[in-house]
Amino acid sequence: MKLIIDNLHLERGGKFLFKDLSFCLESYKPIIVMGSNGSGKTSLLRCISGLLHSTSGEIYSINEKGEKIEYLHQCNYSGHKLAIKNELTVQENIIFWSRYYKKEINKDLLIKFKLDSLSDISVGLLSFGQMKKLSLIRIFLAEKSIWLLDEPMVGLDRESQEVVKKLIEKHIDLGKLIIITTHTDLKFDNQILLSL
Amino acid sequence: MGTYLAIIKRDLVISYKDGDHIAMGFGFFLVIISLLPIGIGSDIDILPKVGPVLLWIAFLLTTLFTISRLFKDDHVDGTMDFMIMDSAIFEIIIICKVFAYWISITLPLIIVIPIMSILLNISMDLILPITFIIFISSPAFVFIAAVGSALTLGMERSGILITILILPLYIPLIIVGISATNINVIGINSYSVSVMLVSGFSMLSIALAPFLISLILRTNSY
Repeated sequence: MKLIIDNLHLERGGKFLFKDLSFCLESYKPIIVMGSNGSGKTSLLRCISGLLHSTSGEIYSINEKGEKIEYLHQCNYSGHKLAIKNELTVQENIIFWSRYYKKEINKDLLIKFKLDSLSDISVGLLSFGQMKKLSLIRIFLAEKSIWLLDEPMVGLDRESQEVVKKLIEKHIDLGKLIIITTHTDLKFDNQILLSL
Repeated sequence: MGTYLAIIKRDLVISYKDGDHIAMGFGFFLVIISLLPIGIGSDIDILPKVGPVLLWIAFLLTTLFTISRLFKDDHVDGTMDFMIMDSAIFEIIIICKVFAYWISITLPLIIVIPIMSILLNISMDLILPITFIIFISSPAFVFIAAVGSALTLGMERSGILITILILPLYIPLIIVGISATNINVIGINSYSVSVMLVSGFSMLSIALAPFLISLILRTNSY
């Protein structure tokens, strides 16, 4: 499966964030998007995830036979909004996602992220880094084919960054697709750097 | 099915944990109803005549007052984003969210309507027909209000705006519903026709509103 971004234009507030943007997202070739604040990194991910309409251009996915296929349901997007419920406990949030995506809870991941001992704590009481880890668990739990990660390392301690990096590498090794926006120095095999 | 049950359960748990919203709706309903007898004063004969109308108006205003948060929290915390991306099931997700709202806010109001009717000195033989027709019309009330909630997503003081935008859509429902509450005058046949009409409004709302809400929320997912 490939994701084709073809001649994409995005105008916001009378200003073009990007023009004639074309690239192809393929298996084993993660794309790292870099750029200054306001350069359109988040907007690009939101366009790909169907949450923002581009001014012109096309985004589509093709299978091995070269046929166009619907890709949105295979996408998972992690943005600046963490998509977690402060009123619920850590465990209640995770149970909700496991039921929503019909997937088993990965307890190993909770231990690696040191969230296992916080399962009965209300999310509103967690630190930002802990909330970010909880938010990323949704992405890892859903096991979708295309990950769109908007600055996944923000707020994470060194140890958790390593865990996230390993999970991303595992996703890439499985031949699945990934685009990451970042300001930090992330390195993966065969990565393609896209500057906005 | 698990996905939908998970959404309903999650929304119910949040509603009951964050109980002030339920209490506010419930309190608002009680305040409107209890103020009228105070305003009317000693003329107790007027109460049974205006009581059913008051129940409808209080029910409507409480729905409009409490619905503004239906999509707001999911929009603010980003949950709406991943739900929109599951495009094939988004309309069903909307139905689940409205259903959870109906259970947590609307159903308790319907349950207390018989007690409120006694407080308003409404004749005992009218209490069941009034409660029943409000119950039947409640899906229309909630789904139409949910459209307003989606339209005003991201706006401050959206409760007032929902009321202004959506109130005209309730006029047919209210005319039919209130006329049916006078069952002693219109007779059982006319009451049955009103019940069928109100059921029609409700079914139409359930069928159309999720698509309309889905379109509005997708357009607003900037």
